[in-house]
Amino acid sequence: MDQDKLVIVIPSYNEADRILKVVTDIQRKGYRKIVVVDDGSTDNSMEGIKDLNVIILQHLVNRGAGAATETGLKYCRTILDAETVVMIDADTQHNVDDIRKLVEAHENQNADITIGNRFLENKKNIPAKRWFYNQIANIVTSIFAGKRVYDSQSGFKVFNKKALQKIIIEQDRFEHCSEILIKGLENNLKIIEVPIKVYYTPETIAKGQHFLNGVRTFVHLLHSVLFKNKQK
Amino acid sequence: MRIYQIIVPLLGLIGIVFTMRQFSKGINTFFETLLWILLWSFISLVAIFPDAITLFISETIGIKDHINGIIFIGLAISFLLNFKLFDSLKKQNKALTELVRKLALEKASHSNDKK
Repeated sequence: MDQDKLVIVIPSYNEADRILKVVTDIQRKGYRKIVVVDDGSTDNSMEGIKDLNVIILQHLVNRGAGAATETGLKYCRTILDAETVVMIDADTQHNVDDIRKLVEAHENQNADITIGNRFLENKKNIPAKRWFYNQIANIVTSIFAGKRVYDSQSGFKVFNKKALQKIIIEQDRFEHCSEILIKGLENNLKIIEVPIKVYYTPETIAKGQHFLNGVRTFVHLLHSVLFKNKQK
Repeated sequence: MRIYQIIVPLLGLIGIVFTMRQFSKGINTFFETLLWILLWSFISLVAIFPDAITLFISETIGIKDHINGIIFIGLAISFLLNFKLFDSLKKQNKALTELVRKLALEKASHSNDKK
């Protein structure tokens, strides 16, 4: 893999305590192109990384994880001409060693989208409540996608160029994870899932999926289906 | 005839004229205009023929008590309007996100140019 054509996108919101570790860990692994999308943070998150060799895109106001991810993807699509994009969370819940694992599986299996699946291994690390909400989200996503998906809400993904061009994220918040899978399947993209390690802390649990997010995901997906032609 | 049977249709007529003006100015979409015309017409008709309309609705949808029929229809309209409101809010949010994104990308390319 040509390292210059591989871009790591990290959407970040109020991660001052964690973003520095994520970025430096990734750089230590030899990845050079890192795009951090600061989604209107109010904790000066970017102060710690502004002198590192990273591209920082700043949202003036908070627009949500989906909006921040799409901003990073748009930059990769239009400015960097990236071949492969890895999306990873800014809260240290993912293991940066898994980037290589995901990219290798992505290339070896000729996938368009590779999802880091948190539930295939290390189930003990996942709090029961989080597991339950994710399973509900998986069911909702599977209904809309028309195919069973096993970790619809994972933030750790790899896109190839085809996926980067085909998938334009329209959902601003957590429902973008479901949207990516639905659009991927609609566009006949090859989607694979690779087991990843995940580490939850009280902070990451507080920020992630909860019941209302699930309801919101359902309403937004329903709205997208009903007003699909209008949105396009 | 009671006073509300004059006032409500008059308000309905004003509402319809206002909606059509909004449509001609390009502010409302065709769907929104149609929805508002139907809504105002329905409210006006209920005011002019309260018994006939409510009885017709309750018989058509099979609800015995015609007051419940009106409540049912009211809830349905309220749900529809809420969904339209959600749609409009979503459009506003989308526009805001696009703006924020554009500014972020412009600022980034501007700082890259300076480097």
